[in-house]
Amino acid sequence: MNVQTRLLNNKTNVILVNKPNILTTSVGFYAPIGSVDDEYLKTGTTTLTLRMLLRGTSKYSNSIKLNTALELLGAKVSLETQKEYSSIVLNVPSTNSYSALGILIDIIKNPLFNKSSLNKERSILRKQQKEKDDDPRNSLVRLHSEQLFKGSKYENSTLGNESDLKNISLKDLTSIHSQFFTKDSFLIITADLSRTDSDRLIEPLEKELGSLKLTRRKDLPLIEACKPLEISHKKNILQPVIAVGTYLPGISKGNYYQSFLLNLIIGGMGFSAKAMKIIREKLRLAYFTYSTLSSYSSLSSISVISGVQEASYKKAIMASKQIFDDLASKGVSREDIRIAKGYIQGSLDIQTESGVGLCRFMGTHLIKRHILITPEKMKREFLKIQKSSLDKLTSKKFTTNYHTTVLAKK
Amino acid sequence: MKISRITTENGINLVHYYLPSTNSVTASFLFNVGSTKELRTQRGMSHFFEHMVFNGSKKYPDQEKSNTLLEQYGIIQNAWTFKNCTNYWMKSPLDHFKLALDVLIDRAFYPLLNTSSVEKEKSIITEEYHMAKDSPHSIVSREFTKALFTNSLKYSVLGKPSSFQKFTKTGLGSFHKKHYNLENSILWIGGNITLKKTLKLLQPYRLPKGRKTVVTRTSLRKKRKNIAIFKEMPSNTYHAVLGFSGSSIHDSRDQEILSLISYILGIGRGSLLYKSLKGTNSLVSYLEVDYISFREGSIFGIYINSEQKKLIKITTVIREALERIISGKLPSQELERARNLLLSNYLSLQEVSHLFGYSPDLFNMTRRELLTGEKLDYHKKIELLRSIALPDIENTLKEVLRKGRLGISLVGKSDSALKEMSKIFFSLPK
Repeated sequence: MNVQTRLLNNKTNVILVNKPNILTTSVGFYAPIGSVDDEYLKTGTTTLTLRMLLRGTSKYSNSIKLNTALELLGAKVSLETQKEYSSIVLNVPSTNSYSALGILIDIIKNPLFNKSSLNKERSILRKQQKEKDDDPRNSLVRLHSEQLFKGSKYENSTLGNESDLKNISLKDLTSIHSQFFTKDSFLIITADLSRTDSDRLIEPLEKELGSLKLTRRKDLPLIEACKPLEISHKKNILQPVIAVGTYLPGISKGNYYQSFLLNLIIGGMGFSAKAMKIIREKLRLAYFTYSTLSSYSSLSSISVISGVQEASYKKAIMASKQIFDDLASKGVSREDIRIAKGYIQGSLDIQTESGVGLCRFMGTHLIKRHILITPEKMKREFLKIQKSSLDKLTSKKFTTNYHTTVLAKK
Repeated sequence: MKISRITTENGINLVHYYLPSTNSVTASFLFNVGSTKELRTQRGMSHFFEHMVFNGSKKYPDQEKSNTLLEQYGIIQNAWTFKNCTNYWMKSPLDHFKLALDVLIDRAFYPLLNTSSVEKEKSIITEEYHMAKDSPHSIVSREFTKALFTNSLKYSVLGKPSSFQKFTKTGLGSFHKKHYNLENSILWIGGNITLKKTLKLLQPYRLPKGRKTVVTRTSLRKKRKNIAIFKEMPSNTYHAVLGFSGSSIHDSRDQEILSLISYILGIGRGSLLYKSLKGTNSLVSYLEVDYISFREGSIFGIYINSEQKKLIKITTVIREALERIISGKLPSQELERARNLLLSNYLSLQEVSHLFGYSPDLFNMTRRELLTGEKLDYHKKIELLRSIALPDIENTLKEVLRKGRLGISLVGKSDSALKEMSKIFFSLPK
């Protein structure tokens, strides 16, 4: 794999990743704008703005014309809004990469925002919020995140609150769109560059995006840990779903790899993770149990999520807390560290084997951590991790901040 | 991509595909057993057995140790039970594939069945059952299958606790002996490994040959009444599936055409239903069109999510889209868009070693061979896909709708829209 960086005239970075023998080209546009940038009482604006990108452009006046043009080329576009960033990723058979790139540039640069499209997309988003909550697992994850980040801009789901959606105007969309082009925004392209001409890819980017004025990204809001709480929510379901979570330092504190490894050990590496071994296999309390890490700039969180037996849900909460307590009192075992390091070596290979997988992997790390990193380099970073740095993370503070969220019938 | 289909000297039915751009190798053992093969007292046994396979095997008796042995190298392991096949797979980084393959084979052919593991899995599967019962999406889908079929396809893969709580290690042992053998399986290995190297890895194994299951063609029963089913759930929104039963997996041409119709109707933002339900209107928040075929028939389902007041309009839009196809009014551009997107998905899938799932890809071709005995030919499949013209689309859909059964499944707080939905959808001209 070969990585080169080209700079457009306005200093926008274009990263070209050569991945031999792949058949498709992927282009990701990453911008440091996310749901934390939504204004007060206008949550969901960034998500809505991104969705509106596929509702028409200056060349393709409506969503039908635009999406038909893309799909006739076999191109797929996916949109993602996270709390701190957004991305638009195109994947297309390499034979059609130049034509599809032209359309992608039009989507990023010249979206048509009109009232009728806004109303349609707003209505879809509103329904989607409700639909997501119909699944107990989704509902729990949303409630748990609200609890962990209460009072901060990280509290809200990226989809926004239902009542806020009606406050969003065309002007708000334009404002979010204008913040797409910052000094930290970039494009990343993965392709077999022996078959795809990189100059032909750069040329339209330079022409269309190279003269845009770049703005500075607003500072990200600082988050503080909330007072630990145990909150139960009522829902008429057979299987209670529970989340037990605590805080970890944010990405800016430099513990990214350690937090990632810790998440694997707690509940992120299949049957070998503690949650699976204890809550499912030993105590037989759950079918699904895993941990999830939410990494943000100034604070992160790690939570064990499980769907458990109704009669024993308190036992499952205790067992989840015990996993954290044991790590705090005994430290992380060398054996667990060894397994997690091995796991990540293999899973990075697997995660990045497709062109689009590699594009997303490198794009996400660059936008979140401002580090251009290849899977190989990241593997080496993981191997360097010492037990002492993990033990520092699971210090006493780690276990005094439990938040518990329960969704159950009673 | 180079695909080879051979039976090895030691009797393994092997599908091998070489993908030099990938970083991994995937091995997937497909067995010709699923919920459609279960007796009344065995409902849920194929799925239960799939869980048991992960509880230790002859060479790797300690479940925890064997999981660690695999996962310390980043090997991903899982299994799925379908209505008529069970699939065990491991996806491994290149250097550790030999180990992954060895554990996979040992687990599938020589699992240790002990009473304490059987009892443990009863608790875990009960929770899996509860999870499915709490999910409107899972319920609406299960009820839809029940609406379309009166044959063995109507049974759920999970079974019910009243059935699987009675399973014993003896019963599971007999089930394994009957269904898990080389004649009843296909091993599918794909990724950055050559055929020569693959054959060398497989050479030492001496696995039970068993008896070949006679592949019989099961035709659909005489057309029965269209059915609409409602399940009450205190959900915020309404979840519905509208669709029809189709021909069995034996009809390979029909399979390709119906896959293409699923793309025309609802896959991609440029599809007919996406445009009318989400593009020009905002009638649904969720739309998925899924087509899956079995030996006993196939299911074509349009899954939607919306508010109660929009259900009737949505049904009308779906009916109009189907009518547009069968009346020969589909513009050729719609077919081209769908075909290009489908072919593009095939290309993307060649960049990863594991092509699992229900999508019309290599996995489904392998499954077809397992169920019908028809030899896998990828190039023929692509050729066929390229040759499909508008009249083929029109005639196949007409024929399927004429022979098949229409069904609606609805989950939500009230069934007040169901009668009108049925009236609109079930009067679809054939």
